[in-house]
Amino acid sequence: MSGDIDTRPELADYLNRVRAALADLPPEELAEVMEDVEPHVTEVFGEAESAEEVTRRLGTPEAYAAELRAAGGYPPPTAATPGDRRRTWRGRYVFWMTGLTVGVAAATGLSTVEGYSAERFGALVVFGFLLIPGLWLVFSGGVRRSDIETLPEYGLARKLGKSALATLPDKPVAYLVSLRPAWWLIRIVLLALGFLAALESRSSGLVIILGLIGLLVWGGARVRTDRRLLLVMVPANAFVVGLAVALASAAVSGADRGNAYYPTGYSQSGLTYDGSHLANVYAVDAEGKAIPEFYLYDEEGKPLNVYRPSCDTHYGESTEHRNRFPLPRVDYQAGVCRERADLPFMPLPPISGSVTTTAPTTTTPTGPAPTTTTAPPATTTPPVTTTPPVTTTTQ
Amino acid sequence: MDTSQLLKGVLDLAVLAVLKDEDGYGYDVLRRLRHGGMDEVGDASVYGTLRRLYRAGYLTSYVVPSDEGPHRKYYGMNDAGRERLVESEKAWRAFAETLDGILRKGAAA
Repeated sequence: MSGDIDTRPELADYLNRVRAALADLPPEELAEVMEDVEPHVTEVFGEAESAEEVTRRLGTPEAYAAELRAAGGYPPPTAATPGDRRRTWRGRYVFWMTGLTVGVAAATGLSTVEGYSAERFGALVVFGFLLIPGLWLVFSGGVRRSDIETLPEYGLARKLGKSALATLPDKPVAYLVSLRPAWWLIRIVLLALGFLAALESRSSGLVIILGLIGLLVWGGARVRTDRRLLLVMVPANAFVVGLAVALASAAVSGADRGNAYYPTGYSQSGLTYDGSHLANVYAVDAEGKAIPEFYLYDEEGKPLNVYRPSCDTHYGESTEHRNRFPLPRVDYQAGVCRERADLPFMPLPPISGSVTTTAPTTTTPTGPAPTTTTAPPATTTPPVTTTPPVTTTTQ
Repeated sequence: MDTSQLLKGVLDLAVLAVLKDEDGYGYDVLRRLRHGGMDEVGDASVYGTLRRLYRAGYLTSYVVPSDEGPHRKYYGMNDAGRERLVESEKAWRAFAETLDGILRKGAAA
């Protein structure tokens, strides 16, 4: 059914104008009339070479509607009455509320990339409630299809949508259209994935996702014959589209990350020396005394931020001063976590030790047992055991 | 001469007549009328007439799904329609005879 309508915008336009010209008929009668007129005009468009030929044969949509009105014994068209104006405003409410809900639904679906916390679904719930009066208006006949289709903003949105579609590359679009019979299934699978993710994070959003699954299953086939259901089906599908994008990007970044415990960005970054990863960096002054706190920057003044291990159980680290060194060494003794900042080795004072001392200070953090290379006095023993935890936590 | 004005009055009868033996959807009715020689009847007039006869209770309708294109709504005649057709046909023949007589007298005079 829609195949022809999609490929012939003039056909849809002709039908819309006929419908608009007969908009004052009772809704049921208008629906019956359009049920006759749609196949007729579709057939004439199929036979005709051009839209001009159609107009020559049938007249303009308005003339066609006028002829049908006269032959059908319908009353002459009425001028706009206060009732019509009220209707227009109701139609406007339905149109805008649906449009806004579509936007919110897509954004909500998209936002699940950050997690499934219940607050993310708050706006969608609010708009869902605002849509209820619209649904009531549409199903009680308070707003007719023509009330919405004659809105200037509807025509504009339709035109924008059409031109946006036209800019898309033909081949992928044709491929997606060929998958049409599978869309229904794809949507359910996507929602099921979202549901599982929400279940995992114990979010109450899963109630909404479950509701959307029910809606799509129930309304998927009905919406083809009852266009009023578009009010809820379009937002539901917008949510699925957003969710699909979120799931896809989560899958991509999840593959990059590998280890779920560390926030993205830290595992690839960090400091390296001669190609190997540095677990920590220490500095001493001219007398060989450890500098307890210093900050590293690159040549452009950008802080060299690294992952900062801490005893905080959430793996949460303070966002400030991530370029502060040396990094604390996290050490567990009898089940108690302790952060240590002292040197795990004893460097020779750079001035007295001349050549040999400069190398150890930089190379020590790379090896798991650096103390053996320097090992001057006997005081170094306790920290030796603490170096391996540093290397594992910072990777 | 433009016969469209004449057609208007008899379109009810013509539409009922072409549906007497076989149900048809709008385009069928249109084709049967054209085939019978009513070239000048407007497409929309036929559809309007169908709706009017249906509302008056002379026709029944049912929808048949179609593989290609929108589904088709078929119209068929019920008993009231058949009665109406018989009455209208009688009235038309009487009217045509009367008019024929007037025209012949006018030509003879």
